[in-house]
Amino acid sequence: MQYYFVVIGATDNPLYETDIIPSSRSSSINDPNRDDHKHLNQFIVHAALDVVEEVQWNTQAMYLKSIDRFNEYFVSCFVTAGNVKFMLLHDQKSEDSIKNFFNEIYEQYIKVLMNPFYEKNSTITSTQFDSRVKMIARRFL
Amino acid sequence: MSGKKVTVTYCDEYDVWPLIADDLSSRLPLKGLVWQSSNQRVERHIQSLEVDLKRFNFEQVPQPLSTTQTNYLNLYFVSCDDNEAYKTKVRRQIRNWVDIIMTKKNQDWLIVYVASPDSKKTNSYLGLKSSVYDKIRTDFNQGKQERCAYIRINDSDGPSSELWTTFVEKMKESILTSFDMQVQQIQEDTRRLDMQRHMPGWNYCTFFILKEGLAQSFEIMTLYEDALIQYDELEASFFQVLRDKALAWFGHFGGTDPGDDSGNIMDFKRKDYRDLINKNIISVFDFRSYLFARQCRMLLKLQRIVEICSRAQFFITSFIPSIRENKEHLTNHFLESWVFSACMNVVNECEPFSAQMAAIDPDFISTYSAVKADLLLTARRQLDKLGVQQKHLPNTAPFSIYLDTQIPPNNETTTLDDSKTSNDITNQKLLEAIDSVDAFDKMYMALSTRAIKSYDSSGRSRAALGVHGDIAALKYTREKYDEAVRIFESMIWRYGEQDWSFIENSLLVKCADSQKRLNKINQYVESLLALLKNSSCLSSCQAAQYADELIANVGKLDKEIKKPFSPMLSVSVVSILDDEKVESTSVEILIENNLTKALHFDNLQLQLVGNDPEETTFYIKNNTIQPGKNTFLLTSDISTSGNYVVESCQMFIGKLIFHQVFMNADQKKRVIRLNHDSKRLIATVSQPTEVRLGERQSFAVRIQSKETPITNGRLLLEPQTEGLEIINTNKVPAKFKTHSGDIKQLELDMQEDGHIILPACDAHEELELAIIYEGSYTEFDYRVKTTVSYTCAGTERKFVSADTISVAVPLSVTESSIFRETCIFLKVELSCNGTLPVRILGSSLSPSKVYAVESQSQVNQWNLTLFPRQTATFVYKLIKRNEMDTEQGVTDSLRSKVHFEVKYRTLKDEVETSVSAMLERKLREHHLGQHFTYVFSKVREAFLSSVDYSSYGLMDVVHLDDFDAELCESFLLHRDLKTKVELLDLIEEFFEEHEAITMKTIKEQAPKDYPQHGISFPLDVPTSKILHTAELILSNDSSLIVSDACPCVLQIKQSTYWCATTDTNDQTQDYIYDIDIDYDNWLLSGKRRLRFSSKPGETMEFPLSLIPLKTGNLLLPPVRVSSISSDIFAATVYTNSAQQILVKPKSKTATFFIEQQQRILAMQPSYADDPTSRTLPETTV
Repeated sequence: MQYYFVVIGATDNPLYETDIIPSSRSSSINDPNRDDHKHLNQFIVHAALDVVEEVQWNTQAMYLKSIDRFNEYFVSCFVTAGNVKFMLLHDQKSEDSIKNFFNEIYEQYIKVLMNPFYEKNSTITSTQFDSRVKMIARRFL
Repeated sequence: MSGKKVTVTYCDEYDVWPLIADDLSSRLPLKGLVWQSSNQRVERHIQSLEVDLKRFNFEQVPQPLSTTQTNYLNLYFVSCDDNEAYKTKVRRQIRNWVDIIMTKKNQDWLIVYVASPDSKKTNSYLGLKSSVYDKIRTDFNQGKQERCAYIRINDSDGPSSELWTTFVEKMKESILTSFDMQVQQIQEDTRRLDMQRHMPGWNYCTFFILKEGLAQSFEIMTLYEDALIQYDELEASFFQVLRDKALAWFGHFGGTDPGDDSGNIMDFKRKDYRDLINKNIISVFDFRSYLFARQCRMLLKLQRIVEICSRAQFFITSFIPSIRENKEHLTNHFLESWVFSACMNVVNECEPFSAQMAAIDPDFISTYSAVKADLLLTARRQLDKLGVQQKHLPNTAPFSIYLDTQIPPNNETTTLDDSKTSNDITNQKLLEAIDSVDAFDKMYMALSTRAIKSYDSSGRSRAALGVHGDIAALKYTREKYDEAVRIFESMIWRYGEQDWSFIENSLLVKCADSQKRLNKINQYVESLLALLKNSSCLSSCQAAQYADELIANVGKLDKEIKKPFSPMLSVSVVSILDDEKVESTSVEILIENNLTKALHFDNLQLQLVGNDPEETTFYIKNNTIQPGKNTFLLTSDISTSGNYVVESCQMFIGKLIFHQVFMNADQKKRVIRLNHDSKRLIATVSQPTEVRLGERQSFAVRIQSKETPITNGRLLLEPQTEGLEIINTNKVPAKFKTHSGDIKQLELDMQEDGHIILPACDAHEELELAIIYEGSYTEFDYRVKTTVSYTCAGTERKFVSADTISVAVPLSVTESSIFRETCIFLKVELSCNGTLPVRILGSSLSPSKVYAVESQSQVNQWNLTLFPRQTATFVYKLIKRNEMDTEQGVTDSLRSKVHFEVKYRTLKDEVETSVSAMLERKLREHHLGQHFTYVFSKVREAFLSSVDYSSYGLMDVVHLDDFDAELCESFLLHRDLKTKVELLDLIEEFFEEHEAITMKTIKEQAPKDYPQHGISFPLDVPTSKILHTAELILSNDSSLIVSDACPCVLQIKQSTYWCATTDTNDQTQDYIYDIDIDYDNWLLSGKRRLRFSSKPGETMEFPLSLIPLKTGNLLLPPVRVSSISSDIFAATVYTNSAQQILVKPKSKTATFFIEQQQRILAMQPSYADDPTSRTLPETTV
């Protein structure tokens, strides 16, 4: 299983998505069903948005923890102040490391926001963001 | 073990039970128990406790360890009135019973004395004789604990009997006591066993049985919450043990028993699990099933339906990996069957409760629906897997994505195996579904629709959306394209809208195929477009295929489809080209084609919005967009100028329209400045060079055909200033200058709607029209929109421009007329109207029908600079024309008024004309001539407005020294950087070169055809006047002697020359004459002021006497004749005006003292003060 990380804008559109191959399980790189998974991943995350909407108003925390499941996969979510959601599809449930992961990503996301050329709720194309996300993922997941 | 109740035994050796049984059971179940655990502070309230009454058995078999003790209380009913009998028999019997009870753990006991209805509780009288009850109490009560109760058979107090209440309270107390003891003991045992966890020989099962005992005790006492906690702790410890890999005693995974795959997971009595555990032979599968079933049981008791479902979802999905790991031991499709059955079990079990719950809590339905839908969907996904494996469904997304491992597509053998062993499934419903495709579909649909309904009622629309997609995919697989398309079309956009492109594409592929099969071209093209929109998610060959399909089908559209350019194509405006290299103003557009195929378009157009006209379109037709970047030059039929904002772009491919709007709120506007096409027709409106005041004013419209021969031209002037009106005169005079230089006078037709029909023109021809307007007098700037529409080489074109025309007249005149008997002097004073000096170049007076100019200044060519607050005066002598002239027709061409005509140039105009000519030449040298009009208008506004023209007028040098690069830059925006920099440099250079311009340069630089401006002022010269000629006729005009009276006659004659020609002239009018006598010099005898009547031609004489008082040349007193009524103005010609007459002294000698001159001078200061001193030196008699 790879991790699937996606940033979803306030208008529920994906701003950034990536598959993260955990360092511990780099053997699964040659997964023949990558496309299939991409479809499924989007699917799971999209459906989980329903739950995020329910949960996000009942807590003060930005990190909503694991909010949904799909078979043995978990969906963890982090909601920023601008109602941008970070969603991670993962199998192992290790709340602390995911929380750290999200917090670091949040910092990176804020840096993206500070870019005057970045328009809110538009696709994040910054390659720096991309590489940072992958780096953070290597560190925490 | 379910349905266990607290057991209370009774020992009835006196056969009283039948008498009290009804009374006792009517007081059961026990109500309102409060358990205060001895090691927990929290009070537990037990609303109601069922009690099972059993007859006490003296020969009890010891209970097996695994069963939980339920017996908390033992009762002994005794009925004995006889003290002796008690002593001899009863006491021993009770003692026996008590002894047996005492051997049992955690059981309390109570001796109940059953009295007869009429007996008293204590019949002791003064304590002399104690009753049996009292004896029992003394015998068996140990310590403070009361072990005895007293009840009465058929108690007369009925249900509220105090005795019974006390008894029941005691029962409750005792039950709680023994329960508490039991709980404590088990807790203690559990804790001890838990501590030994890591010791060899420790058995989880033993631990489980022990701890579950506690849970069961709680359950018995209806403390389900506490029971659940125990089970949850057990589960936690199970996982703990699992992590420690210390589950050696779970020898096998299990799940191999028949029916395991379809057994009800909520049924904890499906197998004798506890026995299996006790015997240490339970399998992991069974164990977890049991644990879950027990938890559900507790939750069900607690009515936590939602939690059951969510726990079930969690349990089922988290158990899947374990099942999968042990696949080889299990029957085929065990996993699918089990998951399906489990999910359906839970839903079915919960459904009846949900109805009740919903009635209580309105919020329940939405939360319950969500978890229910999840379970239903999980069940449905098993169908997906089975379907694919059984070939009911194709091995493609979305069905295949739930498969644990991808089945190699062409592996027939595995599928054969699968179908053979499919009978392993014991779930009847699943078997039906596997057997027939119809049943399968029915079930698939039923489950999906249920899930959708549940999701909808829980508000999880996105999850429902996904299920919709699955249904559509099934319909597609079953070739029910109609239905599939209907579902797809209703949902795909919701993903597309939010850019979930992978999902969108996976659905679109099927949708597009269905639409193609149904021959729904419009929808098919839409789907193709949507697919291509997300082409980044497609493989290149797919993308190419869809692009081909698009091109092939786009022509078949029967309705318009509008799509944004992006992301298939991207469009951007690069720049605007209008230099000499291009034929006409062109907008350069860059289109990037992200498809792999070339696209042919019919029309590509760009809309710009601005002022006058509000919208203009640039377009290019019939061209092809190659993959990659393409540049197109778009041209417009409308030649206009000004700043325009790029509004939108459209590309038409048949009925498919790509469009993009550039004016979004969050987007910076792209402004481009357009110039008029320098190679196409240009029309300019201005104030005509010759202005005739007092007539209808006109605008001069100059139309230059430039390089385009035109036909069908129509000119329209539209006023844009309030109060301005273009007068429709039907005919418009025009001057037509052909390219050979001939000038023809034409009359052009003006239509009803104000359009003026222009003649056909060749290239480089010119038309000048004078169009009459009316406007308010206070307005000097008019804004007029000029539109010329014409046909050039078959295309309709337009020229549009809006100009501000200044119609201010820089000069003003005041005239005055002085009447003489037979002529009139006209004095014209010319002054600047405003603050700008004007160079007067010529003046003339044109005669009118009435007056001929008799004489005027010989000079009429001037070079006179008139500054503000100066006046230039011109005098003309006019005489009335005689009737001969009128008859001869000399006057026919003349106007009714005399006109004063001035030729002039304002200094401002002079300077600006030359500067503009110089600037234009400079720009043209650098091929930037097209910007001249705009640049000069801005330069004039910004830098020439502050030029001191008075100083130029005086010194003949004009200083242009306030160039401001920043300001200049600000109006050069909206063009590409290169043009801007070039222009800026040129303008700056120009200002540097021409810091000071002499008049000589200005004169040299003025264009050859630089016109002189002319104004003709109509002047009102009265044609008739009442004019009196007054003459003072002195009798003696040569030798007047001071102090001698001189008789004279004042002769007043009313002139006939200035009479109006009408009859009223003969009327007699009253006039007054006035002699303004200077009493210092003259004395008057006679009427100084007199009223008289006169009529034209009449001569009046008034005798007077004048006495001069001084010697020397005295002025004759002036005479004035005026009219009585204020509305008649009478002028006077005084013949003697300014006539001096010599008055001689009486004596003939005079003596002058020369030496006194000095004194006179010295005395002069006091001259005015002392009148006597004046006379002294002057005259001596």
